[in-house]
Amino acid sequence: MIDPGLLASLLASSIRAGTPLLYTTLGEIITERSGVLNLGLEGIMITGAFTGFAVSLLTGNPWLGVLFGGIAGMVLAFVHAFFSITLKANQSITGLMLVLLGLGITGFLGRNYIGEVAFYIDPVKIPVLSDIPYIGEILFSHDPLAYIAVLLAAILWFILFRTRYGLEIIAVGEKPEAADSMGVNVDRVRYIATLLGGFLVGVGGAYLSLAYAKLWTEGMTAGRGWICLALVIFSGWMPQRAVLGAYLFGGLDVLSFKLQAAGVGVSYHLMKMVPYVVTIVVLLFSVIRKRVAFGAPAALGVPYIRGKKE
Amino acid sequence: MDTLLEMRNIVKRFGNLVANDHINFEVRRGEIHGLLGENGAGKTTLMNILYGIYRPDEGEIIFEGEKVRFKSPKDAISAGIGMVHQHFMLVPRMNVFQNIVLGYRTPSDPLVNQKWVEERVRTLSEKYGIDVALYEFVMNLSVGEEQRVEILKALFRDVKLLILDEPTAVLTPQEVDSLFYALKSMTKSGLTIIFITHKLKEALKVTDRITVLRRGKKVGTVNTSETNERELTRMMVGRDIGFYISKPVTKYGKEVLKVEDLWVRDERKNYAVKGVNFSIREGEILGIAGVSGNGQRELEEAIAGLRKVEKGRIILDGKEITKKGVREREDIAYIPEDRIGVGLAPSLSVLENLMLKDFKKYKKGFFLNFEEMERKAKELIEEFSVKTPSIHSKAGTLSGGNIQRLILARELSKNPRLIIASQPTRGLDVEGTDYVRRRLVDAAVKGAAVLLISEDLEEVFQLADRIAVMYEGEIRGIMEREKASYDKVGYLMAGGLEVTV
Amino acid sequence: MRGLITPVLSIAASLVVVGILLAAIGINPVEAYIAMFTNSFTSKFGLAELCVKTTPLILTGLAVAIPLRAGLWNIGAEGQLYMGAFAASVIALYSNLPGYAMLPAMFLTAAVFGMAWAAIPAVLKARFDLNEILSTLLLNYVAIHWVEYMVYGPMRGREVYNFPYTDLFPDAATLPRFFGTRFHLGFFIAILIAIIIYYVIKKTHFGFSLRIVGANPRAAEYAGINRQRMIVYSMMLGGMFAGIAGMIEVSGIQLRLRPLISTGYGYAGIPVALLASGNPLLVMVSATLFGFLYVGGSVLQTAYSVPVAIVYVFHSLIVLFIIAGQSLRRD
Repeated sequence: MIDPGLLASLLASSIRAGTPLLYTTLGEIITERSGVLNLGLEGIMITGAFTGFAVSLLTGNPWLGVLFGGIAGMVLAFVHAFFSITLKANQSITGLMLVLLGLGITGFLGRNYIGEVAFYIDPVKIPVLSDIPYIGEILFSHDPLAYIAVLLAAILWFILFRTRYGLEIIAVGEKPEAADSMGVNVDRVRYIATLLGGFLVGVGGAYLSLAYAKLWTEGMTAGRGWICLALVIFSGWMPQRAVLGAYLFGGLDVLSFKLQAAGVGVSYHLMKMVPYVVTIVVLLFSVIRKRVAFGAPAALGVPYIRGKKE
Repeated sequence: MDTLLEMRNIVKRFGNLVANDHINFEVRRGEIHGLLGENGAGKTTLMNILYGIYRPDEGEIIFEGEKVRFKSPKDAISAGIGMVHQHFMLVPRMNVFQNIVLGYRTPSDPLVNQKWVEERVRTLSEKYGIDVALYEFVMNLSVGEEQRVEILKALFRDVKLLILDEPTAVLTPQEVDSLFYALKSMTKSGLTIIFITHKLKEALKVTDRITVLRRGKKVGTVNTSETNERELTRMMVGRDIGFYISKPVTKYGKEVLKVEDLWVRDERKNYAVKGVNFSIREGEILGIAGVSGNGQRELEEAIAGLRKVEKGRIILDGKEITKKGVREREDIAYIPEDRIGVGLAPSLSVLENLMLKDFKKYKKGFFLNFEEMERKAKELIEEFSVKTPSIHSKAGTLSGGNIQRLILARELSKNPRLIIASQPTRGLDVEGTDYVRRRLVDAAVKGAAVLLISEDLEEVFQLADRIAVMYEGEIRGIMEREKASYDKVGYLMAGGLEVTV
Repeated sequence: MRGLITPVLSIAASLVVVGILLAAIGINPVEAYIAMFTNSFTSKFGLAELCVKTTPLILTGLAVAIPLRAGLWNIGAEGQLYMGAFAASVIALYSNLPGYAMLPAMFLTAAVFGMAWAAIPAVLKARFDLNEILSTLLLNYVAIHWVEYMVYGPMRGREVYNFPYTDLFPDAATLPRFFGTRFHLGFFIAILIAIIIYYVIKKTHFGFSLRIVGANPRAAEYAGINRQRMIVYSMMLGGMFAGIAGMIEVSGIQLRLRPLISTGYGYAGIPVALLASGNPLLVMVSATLFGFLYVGGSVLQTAYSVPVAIVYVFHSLIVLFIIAGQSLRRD
């Protein structure tokens, strides 16, 4: 029989581990819904992680760290937006280079920050509710950012499916010519979506260093950016499904770590392979089932040129 | 009768091509004004300028008495102009409701007020007799239904002027009637409509006045009630005096190409070629006239082996090649309409382009015999007068005329049995045009069968032994050149069914 | 000559940006660049190191360049390199082949494994049109973790004090070195391969077909070239080169298998190939440039305590500037 205490602890950890994934995935959902493919998540996340850590250390305020982590993410996302929307260059390569750039810059600037102790964001125990046995630990004892993430998912859902803005974003990602002919400024919508997305990814990274791991190391994102790309597909570009997916993947991550610590059979390294293999399978699945059925924005990754003859 | 719209002296150039050449166009309030002309006449360009998609190089637009400059469709929409494009601007995976309300600020903006929209759509539907299923996904709609949504989109935004670009191209006859009924009731309510088409009969049926464009220029404006098909044909097609390359009547040999009941689909999965039949003999040039977009591209690609055939057969020299690939159609030369797309690799050298199809013949083990290839290439550019600094220059740097010569050199040098030449002189200067036509005639005289597909009536009349017209995927009439006339052919090109002119 | 402007400007711009970064942490960029330069070119060891770093870059540059000529992006050179290294290591440590056969066998198995690793995304692309950028990239991580698994587990050496290494390779499995430095035979192998592939592309009908597919896929269809086959062949060729790079690294430099046999050589292949516009001969030149950057990175690390990660910044910036340049030129 599984010890309920252990299970509760596992579930609670899953939520914590899934939160950075959730921020990042939500951010990329916005971006991709508008038709821009940003592969640079790994680089943007790590930049957010480092910036958050550094700002927190320098100012003593972890919330400022989170804010600046988001801003740093936005800056990198701007580079991507410029290349993808204005220059109409190959979005995949640009995104990839952002990963290298992010890893490079943070590795470079972050040297002196390894081993430092910054100001962190601690869990908050919600009065009364957090005392409920088991459920209290799982649901009501997290840091504010974790709750905000879920709230954000709900807000994003509302914006996408209940407001004019959301309609415009979706249209721009599905068929930009149609949106353009209705007077929607395709480029502007894409820029905003990409920048907003970048901000959230940066926050996801800041969460990693300031709330989850509570430290800074070179390359600490450890592939989470790539996993979030798969998560976006996995969640069918729907914010509500992203919540589930993020916690699920977070849980898998925690599980593999705990198993390794307990010395259980399967090698840690083989388990580390799993997310990538799963991502490939998810990608393959989405391509075989034809993007249309699976929900990818039809114009994803395709630069928009007005008046282009067919 | 006041003037709603005036477009004065509009000029629009795309590189060397003058799409609109000092056009003056005027529309009165409450009328249905037809804009008639062949492809490339400049109709769509003119309307795209009006709708804000293009900016004019010269000229001005006066709408409702005020000078306007539209920088984007948004401006046009704000001014009260709506456009239903030839290729629908609907988002397939959104439903009708969402498509209609996209970009529109409802009273509870940024929230979308569902009830309000439903109410308004209902009112409009009743008023104009346009029915739509509000919550159906666009991708599940028929083409006629999609068009109704497009029209409703415009009406929803209180347009004063509605532009329809070739609206009947994709409709069934019944749907066309419904459309015309709706248009007439719209104008009764004060709406003004511009109706772009290349189809004579329709223009005559539904419009109040018609303006004819030809090659970028306005030919004239007539009252529909005072004109007829013959006059319109003449205005559309004109009578140009050009060079005369008369094709000597040769003795035709045996049948080279036979096309039997051919059906080919386009990218949208609709039939673009519908049961086409014809044959061509050695020494004969069959000219297929017709406005681009009536299935010619699909036909030529099917014969060249680049497109799948749904039904029917293609027989070359007695052997059926319907299911064979490009490699088995070596005796067919193809000079494509889309030169840079299929015909050429611009970043590769002239030599490489010349050898594009034949390089396998120069195999020497793993290697290619480059000396041989270079020798042959030099021969070819000599023979076909391709002006290029060297055979190693990038093909994309050549002028349009020389690119065409390169393609001719590549294709004609193999002494093909069948030559498919599609819009072969489009965009070429006088010299280039002359050269291409001569070579095609030469090839025929030497015994090849030539399928000439061209929008240029003059060209068809000069070169062809027999003339056929392609309209909406069908062949409408094949006749000997002596029996053909500009009027007859122009009429068929514009949709005429019986030759009554 | 016009084609040189973009690459040269891109390099210059990247040097400026990195210079700014260096200045931001208090290092005089001019001084640093000079130190980088003199170190590489003025001593026997410096030059030897330059060649050592250039060697794998030539091969990974080719690994990216050849598929690029066919219009494909091989981002998986890193993983293909690891798989090649893995295969070569298995032969070196467990095959007990006679001395003269050892290196050739390692070479061949590394090539095959690299090819196979690239074949997976190639087939997925050819049959399902799966984005090869993503698939090759993700497989990198799988390959790296696979090697980690091996050296932490089944292949861990007996004389390594619990470090995640294999044992040292036997002498027969190591590439000979020269001049008392780390300069090894692999350098010549890489150059030879580059020259051979140059002629293949230029003079064989395979190379011709490849170039057409990359230049205009529709025209290639018209020319009767089987596009699916070209996709698979070109990717597999690329994988082969990267696999060989892996073999050369373990048998020439590392002399054993361990987790970090490559510091991003596979990814560096991308800017190397772009700078060389896919031309194998030019790849040798641009590989040298990047070799210089790597050596320079080490210099910066030892002399100024700058983390090696600075090299990634160079790489990404150069690619970004080249892309920007190409996009602007297009208009």
